[in-house]
Amino acid sequence: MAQFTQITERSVLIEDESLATLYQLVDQVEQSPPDYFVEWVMGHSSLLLIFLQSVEASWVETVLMAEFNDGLGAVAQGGDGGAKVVEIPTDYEGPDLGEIARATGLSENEVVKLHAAPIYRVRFMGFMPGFPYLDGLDPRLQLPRRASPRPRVDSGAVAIAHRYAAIYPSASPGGWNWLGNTNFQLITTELDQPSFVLSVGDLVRFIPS
Amino acid sequence: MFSAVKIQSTGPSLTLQDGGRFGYRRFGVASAGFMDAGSAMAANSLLGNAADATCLEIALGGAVIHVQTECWLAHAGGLNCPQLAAGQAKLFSPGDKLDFQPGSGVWSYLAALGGWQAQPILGSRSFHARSGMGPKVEPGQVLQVFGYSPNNPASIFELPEGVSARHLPNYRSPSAHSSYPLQPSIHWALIDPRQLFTPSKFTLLPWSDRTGYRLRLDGADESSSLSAHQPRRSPAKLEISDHADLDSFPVMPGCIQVPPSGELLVIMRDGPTVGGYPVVACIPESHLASLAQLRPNTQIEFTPNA
Repeated sequence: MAQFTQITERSVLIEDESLATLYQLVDQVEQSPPDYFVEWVMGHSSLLLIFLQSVEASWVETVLMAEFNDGLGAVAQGGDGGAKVVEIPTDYEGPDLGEIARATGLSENEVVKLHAAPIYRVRFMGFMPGFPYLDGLDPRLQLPRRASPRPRVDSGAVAIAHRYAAIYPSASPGGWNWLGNTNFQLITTELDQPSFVLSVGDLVRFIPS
Repeated sequence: MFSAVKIQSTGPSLTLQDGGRFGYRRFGVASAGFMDAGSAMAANSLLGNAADATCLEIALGGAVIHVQTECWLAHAGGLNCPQLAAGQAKLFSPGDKLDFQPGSGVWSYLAALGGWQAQPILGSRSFHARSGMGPKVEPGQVLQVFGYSPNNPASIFELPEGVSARHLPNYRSPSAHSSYPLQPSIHWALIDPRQLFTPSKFTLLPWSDRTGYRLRLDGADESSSLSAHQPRRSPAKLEISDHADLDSFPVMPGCIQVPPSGELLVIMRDGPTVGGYPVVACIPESHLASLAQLRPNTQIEFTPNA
């Protein structure tokens, strides 16, 4: 059952273990935004709704849940059919590949195979503009972040930490385990305006090159 | 097209800011924008600009600005500027200079009649330092203004009388701002609220910036620092590994995080869009601007939000 909690006076956090529920709520606020709605932000198993002015969590819950029940059937039919799969060519020559192999007790080849096997899903974005937290990392590859972060991780770095895989959309200091690189541009620029290729719910595959 | 001012030196921080960048938090884009929106709006209103028109936001003093072309400028905020007191607008001439010196607050806003010219990125001219998003201002740079031409006297208008007094926030009595209302947030249950409220006092730590303001519980040392605890292990301090296990969730300016150090970290305009530290409480947005203007080492206290 979705839990609605006030986080600041004009934002309400909805926590739910079911991604389907959170995605349905996103669809719902995009299609028929409640009064004063500004934008939504996804977390790991939560969804923040931001409003123009103070709102009560109970009001948001009432408004959203009234419609939610009506929409259940549509989501059940929709499934994952609409999500695009973005292919990320990856060289697997990152500076931490050896260290990841040592820490996991796997060979470098096995690390690459395990990382390239799943279809990942963009669970949420954050840390820096366009940075995707990808769900679906093999449990055998789940490692803590590096003890000391690097002052610079390159744009296009393919990295893992905890239960997530990720791609650095631009250069940044960073503590994730760096296992490869891609030329794929996560942020494209047209007429000086950036746009983000990936968004929440998209599917991602790494293709060894 | 003509120049207006040249940024001779920026001091610790001089950026372009406006009302902020909205609609992209889901992609990890922080809103940025005015640290003290009230002052920025005051500076803009002095010139008849839109309230959220782009201003130069200047921190802590040290910025020097040379006027190259006749232009109307207005100043509001917490710094001292001998050439343009806070709450004033004035017509400047080529060769004039403005310097910003430490004052009773931290942030000042310099508005130009017509607004500063810069390329908006994703709908905003606010600069976000950590991601480099938005137009950056560097020493030696020349900034231009929109709309005003010295040959077009119609674009100069009389300032309404008394506008400065009405629009100028008061920074001269810090005691008036030393108490802040707190509202419980999602991890309120992880903390003993008595630690937060009067007579507890907090000190604003010097390493506070546009990303976040750090507060330390006074008298806190290693053993007595404010610590979020798990209800079942009360009153033990939450270990770092426990923090790492919290699922990341979206956060907002005003959220108060408790990192493992036991300090309070108030998320400000450039702060992250998601976080993994417990958020025990929040400061209502209407009080964030006055918090932003507090000088490092200022002591504050919290009261329950009525």
